[in-house]
Amino acid sequence: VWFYRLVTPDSIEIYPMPEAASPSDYDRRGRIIEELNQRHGVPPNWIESGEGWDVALLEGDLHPSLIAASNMHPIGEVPSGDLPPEPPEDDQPPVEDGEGA
Amino acid sequence: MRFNFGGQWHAWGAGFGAATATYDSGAVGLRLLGVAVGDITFWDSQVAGNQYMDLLNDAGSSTFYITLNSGNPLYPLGGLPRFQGPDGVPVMYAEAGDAPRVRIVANDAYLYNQAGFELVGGLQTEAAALDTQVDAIEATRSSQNTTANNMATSVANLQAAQLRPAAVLRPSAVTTLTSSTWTTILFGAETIDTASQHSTSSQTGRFVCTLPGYYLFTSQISYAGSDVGSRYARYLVNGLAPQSVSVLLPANAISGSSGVTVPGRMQILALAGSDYVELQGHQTSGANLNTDASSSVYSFMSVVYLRPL
Repeated sequence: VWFYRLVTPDSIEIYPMPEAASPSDYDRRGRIIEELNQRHGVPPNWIESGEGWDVALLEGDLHPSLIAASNMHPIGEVPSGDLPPEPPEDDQPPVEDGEGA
Repeated sequence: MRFNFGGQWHAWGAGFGAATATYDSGAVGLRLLGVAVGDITFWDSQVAGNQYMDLLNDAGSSTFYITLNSGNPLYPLGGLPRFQGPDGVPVMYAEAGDAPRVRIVANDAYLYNQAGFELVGGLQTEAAALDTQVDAIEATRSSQNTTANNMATSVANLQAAQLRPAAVLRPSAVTTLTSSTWTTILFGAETIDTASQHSTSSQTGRFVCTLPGYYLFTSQISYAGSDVGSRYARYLVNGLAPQSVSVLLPANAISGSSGVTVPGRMQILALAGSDYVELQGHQTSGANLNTDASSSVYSFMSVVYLRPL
């Protein structure tokens, strides 16, 4: 069991993360992390930005002191990380006929 | 034990005379108390002395006086109803509002045994004193047990410290690191673990403190090849407190083909019971990046106990 643990300047947020075993799983996990970072306003250069931000993946179970200090989010608040479906070919915009075609 | 009074054929207050009538001395029985119907109090002395306040009437209710009968068919008019005196008192002096008081003996006074009561009282006093002594002994023993337990713990810790626990953790498989995210490096194998402070099957990324003390950590993280971004390493205590700074290598120092190994800092950490330490890696290649876990290039975390806290 893995957890996304975000330290912001004001709080600590923890989300459970889906298991990952294949490259596609890890890609999906990366999209989830990216969305959670955006949700909490993590600056892109947070690791160089100094104190106050820290994004980490931790192996559970978590230490009681960390749980006590954190906002624990349920699995229902975790983004799916699923890619949007490919649009069907029929939805392609029609190509306008050129003059003289 | 309470003794029983009243309710006998001769137990009248007075069969005649007004409630305020005076009485003379010398007679017994009917003119004892001088009032037809009234409240009788009971004393420990014929003159002066103290009134007994702890009586039980014939209904078993607490009272400090007994009312002569004025209509209860169980007793004659003016009769003294049955009641119980204070605990352990077989003889009292009855008074109907004024002197003289009349000596009244309990119906079951034959049960009274002065020596027995004194003996019981003495034994009760001795028992209470013994209880106090036992309490004191138990308190002393509890304190001694606590001291002994503390000493045993100290001895066990010293014995364990003499053995100077050590551990070297190494991976059994690669760990995949998401870009720009600190990730715990997993160690599914170990070269040394003298004090069972690491598991190769559960939460393998942790060194778990079982003996409080100062520990020296050294480590390295071997990243697979990529020439984009930077690489870091750090220790994390209990999932929250990053320890010291990680090592950073800029992208231009990384060979894309051969990967790079980032040495973790040598660091002393003070750990109490149940604290755990993880080695975490961080990379900014922009994509997932694995660690190396070959037999020749791999990450590790070495730990050695230094001294008690």
